[in-house]
Amino acid sequence: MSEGKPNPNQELFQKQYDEFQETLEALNNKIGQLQGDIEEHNIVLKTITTAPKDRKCFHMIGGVLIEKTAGEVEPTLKTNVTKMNDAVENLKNEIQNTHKQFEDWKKKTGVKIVSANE
Amino acid sequence: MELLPEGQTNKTEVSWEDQQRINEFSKLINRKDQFEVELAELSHEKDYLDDLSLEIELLDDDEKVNYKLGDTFVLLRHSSVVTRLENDNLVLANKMTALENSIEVTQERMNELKNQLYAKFGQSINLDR
Amino acid sequence: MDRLKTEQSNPRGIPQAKFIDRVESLLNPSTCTNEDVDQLLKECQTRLQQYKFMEENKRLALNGNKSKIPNITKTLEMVQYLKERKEEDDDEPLQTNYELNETLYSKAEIDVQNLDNVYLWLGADVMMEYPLDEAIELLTTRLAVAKEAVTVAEEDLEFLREQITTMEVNTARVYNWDITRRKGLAPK
Repeated sequence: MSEGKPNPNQELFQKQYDEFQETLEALNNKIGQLQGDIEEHNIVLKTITTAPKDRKCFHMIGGVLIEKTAGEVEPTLKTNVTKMNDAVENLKNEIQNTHKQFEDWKKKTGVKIVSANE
Repeated sequence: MELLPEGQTNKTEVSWEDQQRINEFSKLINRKDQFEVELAELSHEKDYLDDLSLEIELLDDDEKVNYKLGDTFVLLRHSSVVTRLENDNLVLANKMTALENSIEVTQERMNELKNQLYAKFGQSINLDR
Repeated sequence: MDRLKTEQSNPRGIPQAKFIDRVESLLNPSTCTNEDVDQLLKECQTRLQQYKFMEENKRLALNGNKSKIPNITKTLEMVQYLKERKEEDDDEPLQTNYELNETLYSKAEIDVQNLDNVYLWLGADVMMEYPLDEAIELLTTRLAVAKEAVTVAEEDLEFLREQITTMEVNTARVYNWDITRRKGLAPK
């Protein structure tokens, strides 16, 4: 794992290292989730656009099914996709920031990572 | 299961063809395991169907039966259910035969590869569990 | 220059791992340094991890598609039955017991003769109305796509397994070769 200079700091450094790893993992997971949702939305969009605009379409909002038409649901889905793409971009930036913080921390504390886990 | 011959203790060199055979063997073993798991599941299903066919005969002909279609039970005429069950049985039996054939074919190729690899590497390689 | 891959790749573009059959082709025993060997081993490790990462992703995709298949199959079965029953021109309503909640079923009667449309859940919180025939077409296509995706993913996983084995063997061979080399260099 990581080696601190004086021994009592080793536990603290280990904890800080773990926190960085956890943050990165959580961010990556969120991105994966969002990308999956985006995929799903795109597939549904493709299906909806091949149907006539006046086709009965239900949208589930807050656990309630609202009756609409295909033409009405399409723009809502498109907006959702845009929002999700923006969220993914933000998360990617977060990850870059966290990586930078991690590098700075490593330089400051002089911690060397021994395992090939990064 | 060890597939890597020890480079130090034996003088036999592993060639690209040998590596491909080792890779293929590994692939086939995984496939065979997969087939056997599927076959066991189907066999289970078949047992259920067989039991079911017996039970069905005990019911009255004019009694409607709850037949599961998807996640829902549909009340069907006795005769319809019997026909459907026969069909299900047939489909299942065919799937099982196909799997059994695949297993056999895979095993044959695995035996061929085993012979080739043992011939070259002898004790340095272990292809059995 | 990537010395660990061949010119070939599988239909999805996954590169084939080069089998190092003579370590001397990459490292000259009389002139290479310990750092050179470490560098090669590091390259092998990195490539191995890339393959393993791909394997993990493929496995996730495979499981996703595999789980879709029974759902689509069940829905398709039901819709096909509704169509069949409708064609029978039987005035009798269709009686069913459907799952309201786990272990709780409720009765429902379906007037099949007047049934022209079904509602299909598309995902992304959207459900759409489909005439019976269109529904059958959509579901059949979806089922075929999912099955194809499963076949492709399984093929890719097998291919990745092979490349991983090759890279593991490469690593072992380079490592063993290096031990022999160092023995030759060590002062006795």
